[in-house]
Amino acid sequence: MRVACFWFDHPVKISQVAESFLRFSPQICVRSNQAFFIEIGKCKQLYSESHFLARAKVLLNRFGVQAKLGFGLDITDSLTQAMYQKNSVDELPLEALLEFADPFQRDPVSRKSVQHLIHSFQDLGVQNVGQFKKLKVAELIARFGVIGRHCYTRAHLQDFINWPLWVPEETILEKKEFSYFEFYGELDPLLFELKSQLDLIFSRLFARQQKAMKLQIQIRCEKVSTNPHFLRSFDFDFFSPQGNAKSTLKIFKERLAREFQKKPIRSPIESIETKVLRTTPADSSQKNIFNNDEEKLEQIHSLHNQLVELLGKENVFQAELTQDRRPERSWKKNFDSPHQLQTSVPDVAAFIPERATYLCRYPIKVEVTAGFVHIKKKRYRILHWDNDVEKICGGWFEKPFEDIKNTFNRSYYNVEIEGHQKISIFEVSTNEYYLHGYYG
Amino acid sequence: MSKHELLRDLRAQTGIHLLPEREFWSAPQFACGVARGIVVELLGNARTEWLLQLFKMHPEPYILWVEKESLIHPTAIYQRGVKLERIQFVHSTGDLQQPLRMALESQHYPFIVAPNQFSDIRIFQRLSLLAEKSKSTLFFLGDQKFSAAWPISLQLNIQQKENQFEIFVQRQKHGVPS
Repeated sequence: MRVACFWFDHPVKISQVAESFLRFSPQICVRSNQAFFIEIGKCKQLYSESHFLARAKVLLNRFGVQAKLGFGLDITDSLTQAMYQKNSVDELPLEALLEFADPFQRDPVSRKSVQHLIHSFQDLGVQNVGQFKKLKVAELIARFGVIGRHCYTRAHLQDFINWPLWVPEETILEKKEFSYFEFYGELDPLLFELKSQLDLIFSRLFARQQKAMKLQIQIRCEKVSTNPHFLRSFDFDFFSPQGNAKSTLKIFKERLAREFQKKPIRSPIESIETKVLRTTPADSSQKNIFNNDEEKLEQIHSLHNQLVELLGKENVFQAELTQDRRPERSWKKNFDSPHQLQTSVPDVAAFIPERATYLCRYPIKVEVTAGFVHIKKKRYRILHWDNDVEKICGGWFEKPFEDIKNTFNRSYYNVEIEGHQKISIFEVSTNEYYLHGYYG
Repeated sequence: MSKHELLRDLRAQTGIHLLPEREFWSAPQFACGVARGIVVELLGNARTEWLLQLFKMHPEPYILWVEKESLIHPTAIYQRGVKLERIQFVHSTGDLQQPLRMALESQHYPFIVAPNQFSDIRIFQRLSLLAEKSKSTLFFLGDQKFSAAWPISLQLNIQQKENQFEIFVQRQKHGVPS
């Protein structure tokens, strides 16, 4: 077993920091708000201790905390190394016996007894653990009973210490409170703060092998009479899962800029809170260094997310062909992931004539007279009227017992008008003509 | 000396040949090709037909098709040999600048098509710089007449007569591929 211990001189949110170390090993335990332990011996094929150390420093920097790091053969060994930063167990001061005896600070009574043992030996001139280890166990038991025996076995690393259960926090939440009038709701400092919160959130999500599907930002402003909406909440339901701060921040920026333009913040901001509301499992496989297609697709998804946020889901789509012969119904919008391969494309090209490149939003009624077509009260000379007719009829089978108005019966013609503009016109059974599309 | 030769001579004198060579897309019935990373304006009754032919010639790159309202007919695009899964359609009733900027900045769409509804030269300048950086070709589909904005590098009026494209070059700043 090889254990790394992180010791914090100042209290920190240890559970959140420990959580981001899940990427190294799932075996983690925590000692109140002072230290956490991670078993790295089983993963020595994946990373070396020096590599682990370098990556750990980066992660700690991201959280803005400083820690002393100690490696050891078990929990007590690594804990005392981290606390006292000595080269070997023998060099540790005798006070380290407290940590050997009760590494998780769970038994205040036995700690008192160990403290008594330490004072007694210090009076006798025993100053470090090395000297203590040289004492005979029988003498220790005779003088200090079970506590003497316990300290002896722990100092000789003979006990197996159970790892207490630790589970990460259920909800991922980052919050920062500001002192009075620190900032007033300008977008840029707000985004700057959100960036650091997102960095931490995605670091924690990465360690859990998850991605964010839904995030919530809550901005709490000072409660004043001029600002009735002092608590602003923004929910971000992403189209595709988000795995990094950069793309998510772009989406945040778009929305917040729009919202602040509509409803500016009128009182100082007291706190900003970012919460993960929904997650999805992420692919934890290693990055393919020879092919970056997956990365590209992820970036395209990110752009798609931003466009959906900006324009709405219904305005960003892929087109999918249908079996319907009516031009306006021959395709439908597909709001799924961008550039998704269509599994069954109806081979329309094989059985319908070439369609006009543009379709009018609604068919426009036109009048056809000898040699001319009148579109929106403007007269155009007909250069060529194609004799090929495409007849599209149907609809009666959809509602057979209803009036005939549900049916359609169209005869399509391609017409070339002045300026060599080709248009698509259809004639209905009442001999009325409609412009339905144009080429170009 | 023809206009083309004169231009080449003048360019050689300015030392433009020392600049890195620009990549070109081959284009239907337009031997010069369309340079990558530029802003193009297309006019005429066959501009979309010609554009679809160009997309058909390059079957791999993704396309972003931005419109003010849904007018383009995807069935027609498919019938002209362009796979629909390549195209991402975007409808924006508001300012088109933002979606275009996002697409150009992403550098994942070598072809971007949009209606030309801008008049401010700074917008063209901004889009031109982004297009150059991302090596995307931004096609603006014009309506009545060509824009006078100088950042547009290529302006073509494309007409179709008897299944042949007639291409009139209004402006061509990036020359021809060497």
